[in-house]
This record gives sequence, structure tokens and C-alpha cells, in this order.
Amino acid sequence: MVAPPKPPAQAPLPLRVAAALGVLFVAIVLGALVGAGLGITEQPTPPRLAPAGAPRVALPAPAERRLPRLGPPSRVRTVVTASTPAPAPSLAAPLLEGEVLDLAPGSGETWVTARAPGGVTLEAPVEGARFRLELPAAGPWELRAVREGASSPWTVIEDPRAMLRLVLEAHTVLRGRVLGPTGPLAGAQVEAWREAGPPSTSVSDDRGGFALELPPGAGLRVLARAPGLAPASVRYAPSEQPPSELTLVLQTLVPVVGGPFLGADGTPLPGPLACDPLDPDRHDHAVERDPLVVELDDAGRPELLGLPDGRWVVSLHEPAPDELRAWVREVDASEDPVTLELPQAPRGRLSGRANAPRGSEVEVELRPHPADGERFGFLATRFANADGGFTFGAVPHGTYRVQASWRNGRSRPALVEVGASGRAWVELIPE
Amino acid sequence: MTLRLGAVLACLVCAGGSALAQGAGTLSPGARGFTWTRGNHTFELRNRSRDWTVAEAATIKAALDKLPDVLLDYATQLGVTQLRRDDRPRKSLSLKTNGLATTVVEAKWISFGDVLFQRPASRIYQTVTHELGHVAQYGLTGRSAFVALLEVRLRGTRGFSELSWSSNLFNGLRRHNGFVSAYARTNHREDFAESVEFYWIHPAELLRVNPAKFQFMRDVVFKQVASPTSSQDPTHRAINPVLPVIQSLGDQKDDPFSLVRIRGQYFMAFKDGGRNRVEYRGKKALTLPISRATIYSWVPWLSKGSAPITVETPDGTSTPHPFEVTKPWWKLW
Repeated sequence: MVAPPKPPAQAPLPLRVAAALGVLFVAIVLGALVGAGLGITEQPTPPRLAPAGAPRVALPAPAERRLPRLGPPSRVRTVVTASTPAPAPSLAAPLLEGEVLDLAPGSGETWVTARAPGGVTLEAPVEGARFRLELPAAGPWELRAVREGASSPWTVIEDPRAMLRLVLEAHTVLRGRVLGPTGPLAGAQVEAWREAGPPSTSVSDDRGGFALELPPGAGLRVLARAPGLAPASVRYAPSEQPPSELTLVLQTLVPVVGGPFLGADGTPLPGPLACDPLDPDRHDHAVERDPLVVELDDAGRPELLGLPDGRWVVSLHEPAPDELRAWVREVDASEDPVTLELPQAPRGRLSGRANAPRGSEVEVELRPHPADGERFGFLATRFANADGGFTFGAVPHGTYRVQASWRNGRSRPALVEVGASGRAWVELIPE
Repeated sequence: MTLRLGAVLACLVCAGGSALAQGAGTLSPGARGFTWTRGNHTFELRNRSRDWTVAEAATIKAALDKLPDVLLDYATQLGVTQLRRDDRPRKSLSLKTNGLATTVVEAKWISFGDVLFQRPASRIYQTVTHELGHVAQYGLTGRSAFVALLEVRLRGTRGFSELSWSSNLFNGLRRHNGFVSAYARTNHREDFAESVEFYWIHPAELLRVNPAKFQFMRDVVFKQVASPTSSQDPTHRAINPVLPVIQSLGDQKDDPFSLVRIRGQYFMAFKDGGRNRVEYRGKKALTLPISRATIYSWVPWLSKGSAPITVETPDGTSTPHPFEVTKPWWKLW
């Protein structure tokens, strides 16, 4: 026997009204979701086409590169050619006009490229030695003409109304060798940067040799890197010439033992770990270094094999809902392994009052004292309340230098110890 | 061979005398190198892991010949008169470095490495002056080398160090301007040595960059002795003024109260005396100084849209860097 299905029961009126309201709410939320997801309100205005032809638009990389392990420097500028339009113009669009003088051997299709400081790139073809390029926004813009084997130096456009003349010059070739700890190094990535424009790149061959095509331009920086080794770079001022054969030596990394990095509640910090090279010390470290950004794994350990030798500032952000916190220390990476660990000190509260002029927006900052930089120090900053009161809620035990600042003044710095009692108070008096 | 060497040296002494402002010293060979002498000043060019060549010794002689007695007095007073020729310069405990030269005042030597002698003579002259500038800073204390070392490192040099440094021990910088070179920003000791170098080799540049340092060098270190034209090199230029520069952001767009890492140059670091002020669309943001290349900031509460970022330091304000304030879809208010 199978029981017949029951007829659907009629829901009471209040329930039906509630259901209708629920559906309406879901529809509103979905509408907001779809609108925001498609970025309807953020669609920028596309640039107008230049009369000389359709400009190609390229946008800058959205953010600095994050490195899973030791890798390329963040100054690598990846320009992604896309159909996405450039950001909305903020000022009247200047029209660039000019001619291209070709003094270099060879021939081919010539383009003019314009770059904005934010990284937006526009390109237009050269026809009959002339070009016209309508920029989506006022400058400053950098401009150059380029064809295969030749280009003009990057030129900063100061007056877009002036008739421009770009002179094509043949590219030169820079040859050299990359050496590793045991001799010639194959497969190393080599880049040459001028003061402006993207780099020329090459990969070293079996004997460590490389050849880079150099466009004309001022200054030169040549950089070589390979996985597991410290990058090497050399810089030449505009008045200097590189040697006929350049040698770059990639040294072994200084091993790093680090983490896990845990926050105030004992959970792993999300990272990343930022490593900034200090100014190269001519006495100790002649080689210039590039900054590194190192991700942390789920346990809060840095995915870092080692650091190039030199002096570094290593920092890590600690998320907090109402203040900005970070850990920072200096590292002198020499031949010994470097240990990176946060002190696991108990935490306390540091409260106080900043006697700032009424109505001022007061920022209170605490820094470790003394700022020797040899261990990870805790830094934090927050805005004071309207009455000047403030509380840092999770301060590792130790001594801190606390100072408040506002638009036209600041307090005297005060030294405060957060100790065994777990609480401390400070009154900040204007300087 | 000895005869030929003697002839070469005699020529060097003769040739050196004509273009010198301070007076030609005498360079004589010895069993362990060379000896340079002028009046009551004697410097021993000592062979170490490398032997001094005649050409190298001549370049050092040319440099010393151009330097005034008032600067060499500090070295003589402290006994820092041994100029060592090493493959790589040695610092304390004879540890090797990769630089051009080092001064180890407590061991009373200045060490010169191979790399230096691959550079032009003008650079060698600058380096010798720079290293003797280190010696002068210690010599100004009037104490023995070891005590002078401690005093200078801990307390700096009164009247000079506080011009650019808020902390001598921890290298706290007041601002990025007022230095003759980027290297002078390393610490107050390098700042002092670089200032000595520029006061003597291109004083107009030191005066342009920092009149107070010029005055200190002229009145205190060099005791009113001015550099003659023949000791100067007008091509030796100091750096130009700088402003903070934003080069990249951790995120090009983000919500209010999100962390944005600002990367660039000429920021104030956590140990420095100066401060950074970061604004998004003219509104002040919470910031943490990390290094001279990194600031952590929080996006302030702003309506969505373009919010160019600027960084203000004691050196001035950066040009605005594009940034976009966004708002997450779930924020319906």
C-alpha cells in the first residue's frame, strides 16, 4: 500500500508575506552582487582612436609581483596587452604629432609608443614618417619610436603641443658571461634596463654566455638571476660604457631558517614577508640588491630558500581590526644561516592620552626601544579618540617609544614599558 | 732592477712636484713595500697579501701629495700610518670585505684591495681622502684610537652628527637631503668621511648641498685651510636634492581599511628621526614606517573612486601615485 500524496497545505498569510519579502531581499542582494561583480560602476571610458590608426592599449600589472621563492625583483614591469580600456581621462586629451627620422640600417613597420607613469601604454603606427597619437589624459608621458633592430631613446613629453621629432638609432649588442659558484652557468635569466622603457632579456647558454640587444637610451642596469642563487647586477651611469664583455657572478644564497610566524592569538600570520635591501655598503656589499616579497605557507613559514648576502630589512604585517601593526628587523646576511623568528612574549595593553589641540586628527605610534633592529621589533599605529584617548590592545612585553602626531605638531616622545602587570599608561604632552 | 726602480721613483718624485699644491712627498722603496714621507708625516705602504706595484704606489703618492698637513696630522696623531695592500680590504679581525678600502683605526691601518686599483686615479685620490676622513673623525676626539672608536660610534661628533642624524648608534636619519652622496646616508661616520672628501676635492659641492657641514669641515676639521685648485676635481659632483618617490603599490585598488604596501625611495624608516605622512585623495592615512623603501598604510574611509596617494617626508612631498578606492559588494550602506 502506498499512501496517496497529501495535498499541499495553504500557508497562512503572514508566512506568505514574509516569503515574498525574502524573495525581494534575495533579488536585491543578487542585483547588487551582479552589479558589483561586473564592475558596472567602474567601467572607464575607452580612449578615442587616433586618426593614424587604432592605438593598442596596455595596462600596467595590477600589483607588485609576489614571489613564492627567491625570484625576480618587484621592479620587473610586466605590461599586459589587453583589450581593456585605459583608466578614465582626468584632463583634456592632448594630441601628439610628430615625425620619425630613420637613421638606422634596415627597415620595417614602425610604431610610436607612449607610456604614462602609471604604466598605461599606447601605441600608434607611423605612416609616411609621421604619427599622430591622442592621449587619454594629460602627462607626463614618455614617448619613443620603435621598429625591428632600431628605436629612438625614450623622450619625456613636456609640451604636447610642440611638434615632435623622434630619431631611430640602431640597437647595440651587449655580450657577457654568467658565472655560478662552480663556473659558467647555463639558463640564467639576464635583463638589461635603461632608465626608461621595458628591459631587454636573454638566457645564458651552456657556457654561460649571453647577448642582449640594447636600445638607445640613458643609463644601464644589467641583472642576472637563476633559481637558488643570489642575483647579481651592475649599474652604469649615462656617462659610463659597459665593458666589451661583461661578467656577472651569482653567489650562493645565505640559508634562512624562519617561522612559523604567529599572531597574538597564536594563529599563523598570512604574510607576506617583505625583504628590502638596505643601501649597499661599499665596504662590505658591493652588489646592489632588489627587494623580495615572500609568501608564507599555511603554517606561517616563509617559502624562502635563502637570502642574497647583504643587509636587509625584513617586515611582516600582523592583521588587527582597529590598528596597523607590523614586525620589523634588520638582517645582516653573511655566511651564517639567518634565523627569522618572532619573539613569543606575552602581550599587554598600552593605554594613554594625547593632549593634542581639540579637533585634531591624532595618530599615535609606538616603536620598539631601543631601535637596534637586531631582533624583530613590534610597531603599531592608530588614531586616538576624539578626547585623545587610545589603547593598543596586544603589545608584546617590552619597552616602546610612543609619540603622537597631528597636522602641525607632535608630542614629546615617551618611553613606556609594558611589563609583567600587562598594563601601561602614558600621557603624551605636546613638544 | 734596483737601479731601474730607483730611476722610476726619482722620476715620480720629480714629476709629482710640479702639479702639487700641498707639497710632494718622497716615496722610497723598502723591504716590505714603500715609504712616503713629507715633513713629519710618514706613511708606510706595506705589502700584505699583495705587493705594492710601482704604479700603485705612485698613485697613492699622488693622492697624499695633494692632501694638506692638517688632514694628515690626525693620522699621525693616532698612529694610523700603515697603508696595506691586500687582495680584498680587511676590516676588524682581518675579515675580508668586497669594497675598495677600509680603515681599521684600532689596528692602525688602512687596507686597499685589488678592485680599487682597477679604477681611475681620480677615484683612488677620492678613496684615500675618504679613508683619511674616517681617521680625522676619530682624531678629533683627541683620545687614543680605541677610546676614540667607542666615543665616535656611541656619541658621534658634536656639531656634525646631529646635522643629519637623530641617532648615532642606530643610524637614524633626519632627512634624505643634505648629503653629498647616497653612500653618505649609510651612517654618520660615512657621512663625515664623504664630507671630508668633498670639502677637499670639490668644496663648492659640499657648500651647495649642506652649508653647515661645509662650515664644520672648514672651521673644525681643516682649521680654515682651503683646498687649492690643483687639489680639486670639478667633475666630482655631489648628488642633487631628492623627494620621496612612490614606485609601486602592493595593491592598485582596495577597500577602506585595507593594508596597502607602498614601495618607493627616500621614505623614513622605523629607526629614522623623520616621519612619513601618507594621504589618499588628500585624507591622512594610518602608516607604519618600515624601511626607506617601504611604508605600510591603511586605506582611509573614503568614497569609492580615484584616490591618488602622496607621501610627505621632511624632504617634501611625492608626486601622486594612482590608486582606486573600491567597496565590496556586501557593503550596501
